[in-house]
Amino acid sequence: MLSFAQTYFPLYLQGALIGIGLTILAMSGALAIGLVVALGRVSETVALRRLAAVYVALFRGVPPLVMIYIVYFGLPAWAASSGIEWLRTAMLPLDNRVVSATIALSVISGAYAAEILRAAIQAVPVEQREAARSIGMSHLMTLRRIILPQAFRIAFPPLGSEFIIILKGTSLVSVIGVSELMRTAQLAAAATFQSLTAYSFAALFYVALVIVIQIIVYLLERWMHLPTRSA
Amino acid sequence: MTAPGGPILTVEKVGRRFGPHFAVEDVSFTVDRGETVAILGPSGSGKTTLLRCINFLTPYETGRIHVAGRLVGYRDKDGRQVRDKESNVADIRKRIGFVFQRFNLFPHRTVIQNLIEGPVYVLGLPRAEAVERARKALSMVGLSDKEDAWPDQLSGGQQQRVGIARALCMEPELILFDEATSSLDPELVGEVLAVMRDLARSGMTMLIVTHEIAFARDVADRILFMENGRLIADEPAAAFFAAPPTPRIAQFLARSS
Repeated sequence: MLSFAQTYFPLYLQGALIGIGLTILAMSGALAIGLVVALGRVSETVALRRLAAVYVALFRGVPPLVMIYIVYFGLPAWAASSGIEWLRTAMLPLDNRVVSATIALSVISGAYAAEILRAAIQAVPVEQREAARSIGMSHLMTLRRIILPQAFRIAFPPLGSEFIIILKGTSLVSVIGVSELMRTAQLAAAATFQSLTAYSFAALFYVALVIVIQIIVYLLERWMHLPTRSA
Repeated sequence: MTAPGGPILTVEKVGRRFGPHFAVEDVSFTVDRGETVAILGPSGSGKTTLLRCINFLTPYETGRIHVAGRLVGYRDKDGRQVRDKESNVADIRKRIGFVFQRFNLFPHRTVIQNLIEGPVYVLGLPRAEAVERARKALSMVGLSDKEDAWPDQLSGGQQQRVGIARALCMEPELILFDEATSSLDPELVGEVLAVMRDLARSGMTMLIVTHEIAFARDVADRILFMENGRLIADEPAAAFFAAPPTPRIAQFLARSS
């Protein structure tokens, strides 16, 4: 175990960093998608509300592994066989494994983030909106300056959990050959025949990463916390 | 624009239904510049709904409301009244202060940030000027030392005084008070009423929905009395209290004071 760790630590660390990088990319995408979809969910326009609800229903239902296959194998092959030039060109970036992985994870986590953000927006008291309106704020300004800053504080802890879920989800993209932690462990196991050691070592890395993330989320949460009289 | 001294607010035959039930029905009155008008009446008589119709937080359905000569919430199109653009409604709201029963300060902003929010982001004032205006308003409500406090660190009475200061910072032509003291502990009511009294004496135009009969008697120039969504009295305060217009009102006053 000790010699294994000595030999493979640098490779695992590299895999972990790739996993973290991929998580940050996917989380950014998920937040962007989640915000747009959440705003759709609380929109006054019925069509937008329905569209957003369909997105959530659809992509919360697809398992991440299936999504990764669809994006990386399915879409480019379909575009190539369609014979439509611009479509084929549009799908070219998906040949890059990291791009495919980011999109697949973003689309799925975007649906979860949307639900988290929707609930948070709705948790901001309606009186806040009225107060903003009463000083002449537009709908958009009310959202940007009054509602979203409060909603984001409410959404932060569950979004932190979502970040952790994405991090662990990155282990799935080993199937398309992204050299993240899980993929590194597979290669190490194949090279050394020490499967238990190789995968346990990966598990340790995941646990360590998650603990670090939890601490960061906790610190940020405390930093954002608004003072009250009892504090 | 109306001439100074003319009506800042004109309410004509205004109605608002919630389901089959009229919350406000056929209400008409005017408020002149510099006047302090109190709206009294039992709970559920439509006072708050009427007040919210004036700045269109609750859209009225029939009649017309003009603030400073501008029709609120609607515009004329081929002789019919159609919903006005949101930006026009916002434009009118800039000129009407609103003080809420439950303060509704922005909890994620400090006191001074609450006050400059409107002036900077809605009126487009330079920050320094907005801060100066905010400090003046804070000193007026006696909270100069609370500039950097967070809303949740303040007592209810202090929060409401910040609420009033927030309205003042927009330099409104009219301020609407929606039961501004109703959610306060009894010992905190006085400090808020004192601020409102000072404001009225300074010549601010105020329309006040309240359950504080003694305060209305002391401060208001005119009293409106509502019951079941209708305006059943509109009289100078002195006359209203000297000889209540109906036995029902006399009974209400006797029980409330």
